[in-house]
Amino acid sequence: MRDNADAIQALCEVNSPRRTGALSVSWYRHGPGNESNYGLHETAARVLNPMANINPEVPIGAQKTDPDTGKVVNPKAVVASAVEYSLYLEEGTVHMSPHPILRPASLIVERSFISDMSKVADGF
Amino acid sequence: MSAELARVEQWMYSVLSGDATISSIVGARIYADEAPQEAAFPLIVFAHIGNIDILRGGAGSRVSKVIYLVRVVDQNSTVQGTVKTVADRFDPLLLVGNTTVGDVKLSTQHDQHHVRRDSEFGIPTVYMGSYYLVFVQPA
Repeated sequence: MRDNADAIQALCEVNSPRRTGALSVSWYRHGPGNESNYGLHETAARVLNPMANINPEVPIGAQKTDPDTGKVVNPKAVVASAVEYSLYLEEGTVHMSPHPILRPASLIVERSFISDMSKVADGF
Repeated sequence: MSAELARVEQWMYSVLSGDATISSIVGARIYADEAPQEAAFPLIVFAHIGNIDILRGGAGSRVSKVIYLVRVVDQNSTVQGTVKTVADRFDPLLLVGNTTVGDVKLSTQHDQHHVRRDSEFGIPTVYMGSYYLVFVQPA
């Protein structure tokens, strides 16, 4: 889960267009468990582009924990951008074509994620 | 064959523009990628978001998995009324299985609903539609 989310985040960083560089550094991972690098990336984006509107961290919702070990048993992870204008690139507007970054990255990583999850299901 | 996306867009345009309900509301204002500045509202914009190709040896063994975002856009409106009427037509028209379009076969899946409220030059603008997965291979 963590590796695949990191792969998506890395692809988003590489494929982001750069003017100030804020978008490229704004991609973060929240989860699995309580892990988050939002603060690091939100701060970096804010420094590179003080004019950018900053998105709050995307919540990942409830994750079940094993009562004995305290470990998360259904881990979730979110990859998102901390800058608001990422949405306008990703989806476009009525008068601007989309320049998507996140969905193409998730398409690329999807196959390795499925492969990794099948190994987990097989007990590896 | 390397222009599957052009065939998908051609199919999408013809299906949407051929629907009487949609035509009665948006007329001929159906655009790929972006609408011209002078276009009136409401209108439909569909856009290629990404794709990944699965290639294997042999004939007919190439499948492109493509994501499109299809949405109706209106200004000074809400998601109720005509916007909802048009968006409700997308699934019945675009969800197909094993349909031959010219020299390609395609199947589609609904991936995710989409709604956005925005403003352009201070004018409230509403977007409503869905992401669709389109699987395309040579017929």
